Amino acid sequence: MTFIDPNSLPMIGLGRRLNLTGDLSKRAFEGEDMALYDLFIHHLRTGRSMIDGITFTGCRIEGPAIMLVLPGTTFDSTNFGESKGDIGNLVLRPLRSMAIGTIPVMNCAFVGCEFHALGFTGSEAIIDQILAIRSA
Amino acid sequence: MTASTPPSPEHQALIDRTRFEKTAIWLPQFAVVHFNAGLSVIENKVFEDCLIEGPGVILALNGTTFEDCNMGYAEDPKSLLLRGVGPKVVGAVGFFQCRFIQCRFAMISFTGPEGFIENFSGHVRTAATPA
Repeated sequence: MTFIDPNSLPMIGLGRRLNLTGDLSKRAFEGEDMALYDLFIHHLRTGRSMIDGITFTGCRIEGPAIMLVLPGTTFDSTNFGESKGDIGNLVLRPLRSMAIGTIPVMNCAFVGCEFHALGFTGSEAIIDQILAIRSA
Repeated sequence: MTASTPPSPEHQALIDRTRFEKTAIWLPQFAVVHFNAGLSVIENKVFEDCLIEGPGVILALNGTTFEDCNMGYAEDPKSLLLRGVGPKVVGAVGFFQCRFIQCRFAMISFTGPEGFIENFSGHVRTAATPA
């Protein structure tokens, strides 16, 4: 299951065809695409409560989902996706310390990736960093 | 977004259906079926006695109501809320003119207009401990 019907998306922003991964258990993905919720459910089913320590290089990661950005997660040369004119539209603040329903991502590296239909939340420091993309 | 291929008969039936009773709904998949048909929000549906499962965030748009629902396991109802920083919300699943009646939500949080957030504690009940 993926957000975009591959038939309606001959090429993705990464300059290649959609390439859905066939193995969600990998610790490093390169040039492979996936829905973040599928990856998270795979981790839950294998006894892990978060996506932890995985490297994504040149991947397209889809929602709909809200990523909870936890310490150790980095973004390098990554396209956060269509923000509908305001980077703030990609960001939500939890009203309390919990962020139920979001997908926790810790110690992961996103390099040269693109996101689609993903929102983001996290600590105030993380939120500030994402909002700073506004002026990039 | 416009899909270039029509939905399968099974998906079209899901899109056309306006009433769901005693059904488990996996929110990401339910949303994707609608998104791929070019629908950016889910609208004019009634969910009664359903289990809505995440992970996901529901964007409660105008006319969407929650009647006698169990919104999730949290001692403080505000733990189930997120507030968008911008005027729109990317990544949440929008529901417009939908009714949730006696539904249960798991791994779901909620966002919406400021009025929805302010009134959330008042018109929903949560379970502090699992049944």
